[in-house]
Amino acid sequence: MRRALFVLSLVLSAGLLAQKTPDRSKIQVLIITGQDAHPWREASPFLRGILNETGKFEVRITEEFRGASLETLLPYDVAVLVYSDEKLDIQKWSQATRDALLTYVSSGKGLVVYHHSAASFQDWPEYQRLVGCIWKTGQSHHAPVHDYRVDIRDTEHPITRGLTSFMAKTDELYAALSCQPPANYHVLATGWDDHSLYRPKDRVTGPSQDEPLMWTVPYGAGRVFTTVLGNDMRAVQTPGFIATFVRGTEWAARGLVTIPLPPELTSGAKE
Amino acid sequence: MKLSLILALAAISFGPSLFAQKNTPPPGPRKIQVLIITGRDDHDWRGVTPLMRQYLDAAGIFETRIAEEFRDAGPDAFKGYDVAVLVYSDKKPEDRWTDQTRNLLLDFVKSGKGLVVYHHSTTAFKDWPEYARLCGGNYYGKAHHAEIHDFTVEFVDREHPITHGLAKSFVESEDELYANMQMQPQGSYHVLATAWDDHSLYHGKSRVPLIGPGNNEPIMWTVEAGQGRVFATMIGHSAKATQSAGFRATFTRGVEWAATGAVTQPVPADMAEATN
Repeated sequence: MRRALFVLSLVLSAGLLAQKTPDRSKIQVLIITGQDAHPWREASPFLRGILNETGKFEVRITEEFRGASLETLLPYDVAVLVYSDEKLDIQKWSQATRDALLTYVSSGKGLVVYHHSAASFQDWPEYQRLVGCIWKTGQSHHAPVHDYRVDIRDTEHPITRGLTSFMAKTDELYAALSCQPPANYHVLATGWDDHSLYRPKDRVTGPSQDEPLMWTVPYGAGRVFTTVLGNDMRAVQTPGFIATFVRGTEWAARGLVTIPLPPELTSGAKE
Repeated sequence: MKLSLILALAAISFGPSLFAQKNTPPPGPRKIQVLIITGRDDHDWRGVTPLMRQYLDAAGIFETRIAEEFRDAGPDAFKGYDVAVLVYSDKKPEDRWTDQTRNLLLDFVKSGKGLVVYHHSTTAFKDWPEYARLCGGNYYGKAHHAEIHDFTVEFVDREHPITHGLAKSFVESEDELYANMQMQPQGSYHVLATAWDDHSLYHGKSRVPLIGPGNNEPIMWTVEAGQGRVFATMIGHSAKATQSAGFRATFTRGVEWAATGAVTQPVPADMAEATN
C-alpha cells in the first residue's frame, strides 16, 4: 500500500513537473475564439483535444482576444481562428489587433482559419487576402447540412500527401465564396455543391459545381491553412476533418507535416 | 412538421447550447459577464477553469469567457466585463504581465468592477505592490501550508451577502490550508471565513517557527478597491478540491458579489443552515 502510494505520488509529481516545464519542442498553438454564432464553446476544446492527441502541440485558448497585440501572438507558432463577428452586434477588433495578426503571419508564423471564421471581418479587405476565400454575406450560400465527398485536388502537398477522398458528415458545404485571384491561393480539396439540395427560398441558380473546401495561402513569410469544413460538433468528428485539421495546423506552424495519416484515409486503402 | 421533427432531433442530440448561440439576442436579462484570466500557473489551471465555468453556468446568471493568454492584454480586453477571476501565477519571467496590462486590471477594478482572487493567484506578481493591496493578503514570504488534509471552514461574518444564509461552517476535503499569509494592514480587508491551522500537521517541518498548537487563518475575505470589490478565496487547490459544496457556493456567490455588490443566488440545499 505504502509502495503503491509512493509510486502514485511519483506519477503525480511527474505530471506536475511536466506542467512546470513547457515543452519547447512542442508547437505552441493559440486558439482565438469567444465570439461566433457557431458553437465555439464546444468546438474549441474539441480542437484542443485532437491537437493534443498527436502529442505534437501545446495549446492555449483565448476567449477574449480584443486588446491583443503582436506581443500577444509572437510566443506562438500558429494561431487558429474559431471566431466570427458576422452578424453579431459586438465590439470589433481594433485596427491594432488586426494589424498584429497580419504582421504575425507575414513574419513567418502560421494561421489556421476554421469554417465560419472565413465569414468574419467583412469590413477588413486585407483579411480576405490573408484567408484566400471568404464567406461573403449575401453572396455565399450553402445547402442544408448533408453528407458529401471531399475530393483531394493536390495529393503532393504536405497536408494532403497520400490522403484519399473522404466523407464529410452532416456538414455545410460553403459555396459561392468570394475568392482572391487564383494565383493567390492554392486549393487542396473541393466538394461538389449539388444545387438540387437547396430549398426554393435559397434562390440558388445555375449548374452545380465544385467548390473549394481547403486551401493554403502564402502570406509574406507565413503560411495560412483554411478549412471551411466542420460546421458543428457532428461535422468535426469525422476522420477526414480531424486528419486535415491537425496536419494543416502543423503545416501552418512549420511548413512541413510529420503527423501520419490514419490508415483508413491513406490512398490505396481498401474501401 | 418535418422541420419541427428535425429541430427536435437536433435539440436532443446537441442540447440547448447550440440553439442558445444561434438565437440572438439571448432571452432574459443581461447576464453578468465574467472573464477568467489563466494560462500560466504551476497549478492545474487546465482542470480548474472549465469547472469554474460549469459552476457559474449552473447558477444561470453568468456568461463566462476564459482567456489563457493575457500577458500583454490591452484596454479592449476588459471592455464589457463585470468581473475578472484570476487563476494565474507568474512563476517564470515569461509569465509576467506588462505594466500596461497591470494598470488596466487596477483601473478595471477601481472603476467599480469586480475581481476574484483564487488560491494560488495570491502568489503572483511579487514585484507589484498595488496587486498586494488589491488582494488584501498574499502567499508571499513566510506563508506556508501543511500537507493536503480535510479541514473545517467557519464563517466569521454571516451577514455579508456572500455568506448570508449559509450554514455556519463546511468541511473542505483534501485541500491546502494557506497560513501565515502576508496580510495588508488590518481594516483594509474584511474576513468572511477562517480555518484552524493545526500546527501538529506540519510534523516539525515548518519553514517558520510555529507558535502555539494552531491558529485561525483567514480563508476568505473581501477588499474594497476604489469603486470596486475584490473577493479572495484561498481554497480549491486542485480540480477535485473545487468540487466541494462549500467551494462552489462561495465561489459563485463571491463572483456575483464582486460583479454587482449583491448576491441573488438561492442558498444551495447542501450549504443551507440546519433548521434544527
